[in-house]
Amino acid sequence: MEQLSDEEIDHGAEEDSDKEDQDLDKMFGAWLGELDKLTQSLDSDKPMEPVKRSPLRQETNMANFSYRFSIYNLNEALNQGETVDLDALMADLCSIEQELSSIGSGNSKRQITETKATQKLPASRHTSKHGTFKALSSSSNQISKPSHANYSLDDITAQLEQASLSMDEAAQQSVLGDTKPVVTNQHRRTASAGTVSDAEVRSISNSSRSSITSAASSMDSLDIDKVTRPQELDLTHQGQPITEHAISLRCSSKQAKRHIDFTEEQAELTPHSYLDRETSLLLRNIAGKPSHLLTKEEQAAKLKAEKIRVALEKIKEAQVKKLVIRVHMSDDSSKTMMVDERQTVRQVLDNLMDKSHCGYSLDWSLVETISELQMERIFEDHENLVENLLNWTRDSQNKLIFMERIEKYALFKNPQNYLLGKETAEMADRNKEVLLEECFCGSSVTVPEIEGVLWLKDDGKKSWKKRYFLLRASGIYYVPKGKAKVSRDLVCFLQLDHVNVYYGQDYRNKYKAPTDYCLVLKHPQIQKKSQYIKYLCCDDVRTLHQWVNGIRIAKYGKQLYMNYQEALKRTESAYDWTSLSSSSIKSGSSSSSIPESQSNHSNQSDSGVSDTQPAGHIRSQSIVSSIFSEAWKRGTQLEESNKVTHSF
Amino acid sequence: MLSASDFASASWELVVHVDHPAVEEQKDITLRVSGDLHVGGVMLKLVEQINIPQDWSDFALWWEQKHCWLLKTHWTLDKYGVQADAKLLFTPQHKMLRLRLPNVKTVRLRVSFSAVVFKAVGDICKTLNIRRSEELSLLKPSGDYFKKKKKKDKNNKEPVIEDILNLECSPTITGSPVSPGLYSKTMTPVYDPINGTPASSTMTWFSDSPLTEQNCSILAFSQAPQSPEALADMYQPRSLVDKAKLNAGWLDSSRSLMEQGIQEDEQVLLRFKYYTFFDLNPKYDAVRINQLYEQARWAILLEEIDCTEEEMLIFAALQYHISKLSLSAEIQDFTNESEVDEVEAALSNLEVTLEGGKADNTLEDITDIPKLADNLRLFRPKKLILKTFKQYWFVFKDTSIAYFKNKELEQGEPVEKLNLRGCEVVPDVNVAGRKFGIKLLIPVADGMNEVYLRCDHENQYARWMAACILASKGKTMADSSYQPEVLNILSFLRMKNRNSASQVASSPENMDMNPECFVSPRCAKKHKSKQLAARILEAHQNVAQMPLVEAKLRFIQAWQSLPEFGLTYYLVRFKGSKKDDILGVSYNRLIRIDAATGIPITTWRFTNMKQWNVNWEIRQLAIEFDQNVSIAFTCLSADCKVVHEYIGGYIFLSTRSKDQNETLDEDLFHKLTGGQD
Repeated sequence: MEQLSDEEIDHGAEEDSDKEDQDLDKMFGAWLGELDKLTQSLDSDKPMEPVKRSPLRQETNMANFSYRFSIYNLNEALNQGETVDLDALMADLCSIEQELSSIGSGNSKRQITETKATQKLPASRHTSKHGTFKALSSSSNQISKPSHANYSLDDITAQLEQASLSMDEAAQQSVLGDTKPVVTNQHRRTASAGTVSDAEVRSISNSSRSSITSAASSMDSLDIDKVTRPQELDLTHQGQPITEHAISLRCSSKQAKRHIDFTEEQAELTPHSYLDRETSLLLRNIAGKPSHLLTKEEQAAKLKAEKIRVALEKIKEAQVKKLVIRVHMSDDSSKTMMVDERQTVRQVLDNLMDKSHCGYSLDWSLVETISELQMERIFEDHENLVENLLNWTRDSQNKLIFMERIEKYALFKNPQNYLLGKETAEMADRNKEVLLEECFCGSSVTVPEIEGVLWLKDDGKKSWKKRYFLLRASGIYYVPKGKAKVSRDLVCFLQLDHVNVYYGQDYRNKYKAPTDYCLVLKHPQIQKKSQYIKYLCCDDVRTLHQWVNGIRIAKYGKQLYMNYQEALKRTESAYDWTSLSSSSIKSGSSSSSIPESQSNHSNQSDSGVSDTQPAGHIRSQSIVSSIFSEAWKRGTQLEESNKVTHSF
Repeated sequence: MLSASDFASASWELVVHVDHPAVEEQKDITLRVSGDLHVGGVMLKLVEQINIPQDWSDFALWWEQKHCWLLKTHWTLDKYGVQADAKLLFTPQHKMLRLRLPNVKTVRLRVSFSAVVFKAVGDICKTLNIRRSEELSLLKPSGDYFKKKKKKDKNNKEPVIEDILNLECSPTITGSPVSPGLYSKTMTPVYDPINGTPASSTMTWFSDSPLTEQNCSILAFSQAPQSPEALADMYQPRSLVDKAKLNAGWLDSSRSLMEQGIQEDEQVLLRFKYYTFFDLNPKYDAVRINQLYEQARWAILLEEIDCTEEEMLIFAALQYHISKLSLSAEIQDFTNESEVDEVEAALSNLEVTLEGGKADNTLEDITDIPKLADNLRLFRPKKLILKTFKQYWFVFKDTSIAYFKNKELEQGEPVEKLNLRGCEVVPDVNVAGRKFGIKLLIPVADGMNEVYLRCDHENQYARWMAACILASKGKTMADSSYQPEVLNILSFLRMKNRNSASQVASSPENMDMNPECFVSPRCAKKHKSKQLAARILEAHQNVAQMPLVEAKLRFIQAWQSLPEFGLTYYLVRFKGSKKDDILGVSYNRLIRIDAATGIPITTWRFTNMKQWNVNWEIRQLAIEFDQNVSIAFTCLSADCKVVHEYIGGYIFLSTRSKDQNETLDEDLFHKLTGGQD
């Protein structure tokens, strides 16, 4: 409970500093340098005045953002009183814990703490929240302490202990110093320095607690949350800059840091669960063998090789960032889940479909809404979710929504509407497939020729001007006034490498747009009004979808089609599994329950698991050839008959 | 000479002209033959009478009046309809032909004049080691092509013969097919897939073939770019109708060269005719990819296909990159991945630690992140503020730049720190004006942070620029690609420099490296040289790391994504129409285009096609599509066979698939494209 009291003090402090942040919001620059200063001052035991002034808003550092997200999400959870989600989250954490501990020798102690932590949860919301944090941090703490004592990597440990000692000192100094600014800084840093020391751990809870409340005072909801697994509350992966400052106490280079990080981690965790089965087995084997069977050199060499290998794995693992995100469902509820840095949107979607028992469909999408700009975008399946979410600002009101959107793959269900310009005619499935193959499976992707008059919003004004736009693989162009539509005279409006395409919402009111069918092009990092955001308005919804999909094709190319095929495969296999039917029956049976596109696909899925691209390619090739050979047969028949008539 | 039996069997005299340098005195040989003698017998008699011991197997009889070969040796003269008035020529089936390749080089090659063009092209491609010969064909250049060329030759006083690659000793002389696609059977890569040099395992193969290693490099490597003057000389603005006229020259694939009036040693163009390139594989296709790249390059330089200025600059950057890589003797090894580096560094770190060395010092040494620190000038565009650069002390570390009022304050807090991850880096350089600027567009939540840096000299610029480029991709200067990047930038600056200071001795290979030779003459005219160079440099950044073959493939891809790619134009008159239209034939569709405005009117896709046929009597092509759409047209700018073959050819090509290994269904091709007989 002493920690709690500490927290309360810090809490006040945090609020203040946060206010200052707000005050200094418009100020640019300077904050990182101040962090550097802090580092130096930590080093030299000086008070850390400058720190308090660092405006959070200015940070471009992703890790910092992500940490901030966590705070807000928790805060939101508190506001809404959704203990359920926290439980789920805890369950997640626990399961990870268990997985890990079951691999190694199993650390019962930790599991106990974990369970304790979960048990605590339902109690009272506020305290349970902090309880969790404390439990987590204390558990990790418990891990690290014995490890220092137990583990045999002496020199590493020694080194580590030195490092962590000095970290301890620094942290304690900063905590004990108890000046307002320190805490601000501390709270940013803690995420990365979690396991290092008691003091640090305390400051985690301090700062997280305090920032929760301060957040509560300033803004309400934000949906992303960053919490690391307890084991990973170490320096490594939390984003270099933070780590830098914490560690620059000892050495200044990034790799050195990393090095220390993993040695620390190794020292902490190997005796417990982090050593994978193989390694521990091997080590045990060697250990079990009578020493006369192994020369000392051999032993040493083996050990060393092992250590290196393990350490390298640690490096990799430790660099994985994890985010806890809040996903809004279409029915106004929300779910909290953990995503790791490596996960694609597809993987997260699969996860969500599993969890929400919503049935499998191609149309489930993750939609990002940027409420401040009134725009939204469906994440593409291949995109990295964490990367995208890290673009959100600290006080962002952006939301992540899990919902069914037919626009997502409409392009592939009725390609003729998007790839063939103005025609709307229905198309036979066979021809659709041919069309898709033709467009996406050649050596280069054919960007649909979309062109026409669109409205372009003037910079900074609520007025819109007509222009004739054209889409090409190299970007969007327009025809300058008084010129003909010749390629060489086109003016480049935008190249697509750096921008994403969004749907604008209700721009008729917001920007006096001529219609509500607006699309927006902006750099994903831009979150506020800016001259670098381009607004276009179409005359009808069909044109809008054609443009958006055309831009998607130009931007993502073949990847888009691969996403679609992957999604198809997933939904199929899901049905497969639920119905437990054989693959031959599958395609027939599933087609009834899944929208039209399914029937399209059922042809393809006949080839079973090997239904990969090349297979599909060959298939359609043969389709094409059959079409043509039929055509040709008829042609030659006629020709022959012609010939006959000519010869007479 | 004449015996009684001869008269009895109604024999007659047949005069045969012998096309052989040794048979000078008696070029016309008179044979006494009868109508039931088969062609083989005639040739036997002929050879006996000539009485020169040599291999006559390549010789065959050519009937001049009828313009056809008498190749079926078992047919009798009666069956062929040969009578006493027939003028026959006894001549080799394989003759020399000058082929102008897509890379504007000419090779002299012995080619079958008696086989159908489809097969002759197949043999040519085997000799040149180009897979998928069905995509290529021979184009007879129209008159103005030669006119233009002669003018050029006169100006340059450069004999045509000089750049001709002679492959006279080709094995095709025996009529047997050349090395039957060794690659397909053994599946061993013939070329290095990174830079397109022949793999060592194939050297033996090359020794069998007229393609010596050096010749191969002429085919597989991009040649030094043309001088802008030469380019301007070749450049000819063409309307759609002009382009349509050029397409009349495609030879008929189902007839032989001789039958189409091609003379020995005449020049024809070998081109990729059908724009669907199947299975381009760097392992086997170094020549094919290079020739394709060259065809694309010339199409763009001479504006045979239209593109926007941005696209032109991307093409220019790729060309620059490719020509530079092709020239450089040692091709850089790009295989080192940054991740590997980091892991290795970590590994060696760990090793050091485990060995219990002087931990701290060593650590610091090894892991010291390279850093740049220098005085640079900075300018941030703001409204109402004049464009003035202010000097600061800049420190580049990791992926960010911090700047300070002066060097002494470096330990303190910087004026600002910029994280360059994900930012846009744009060169702002004018070598002649000694201006070395870097423009940074750094995305932040509320827009773009626009910053201009100014360096004092090239070396400084190259180092900072390279660091910025790497940082924008999230890499630090510790990455292995940093040094190459610096050199890259320096060499590019030199290219620009050449214009302003031509007296500077530059290596001979760099002679033609000036920006104008990478863009079309019209584009070059529109911009100043230094502007052009700056913009090419800007585009070049994105491709600077690309290996040679990949860059060529990228070029081809960019070419393929142009809207007008693959369209072959013909001037046609649609049935029921009162004016001429342009018909564009592409790999997947037919487009009717207004001849005057160039605006597409209707598109028909091959996938919807039900049948097509040709009425040879009125030379009309009729095509029927789904939903009872049918069209009919006559071709005005070329024979209707040419258009018919184009459509049939595309349909034939769409039937190809990877599993039918390398064998071509030649019969199907001829069925789809064949003529009236």
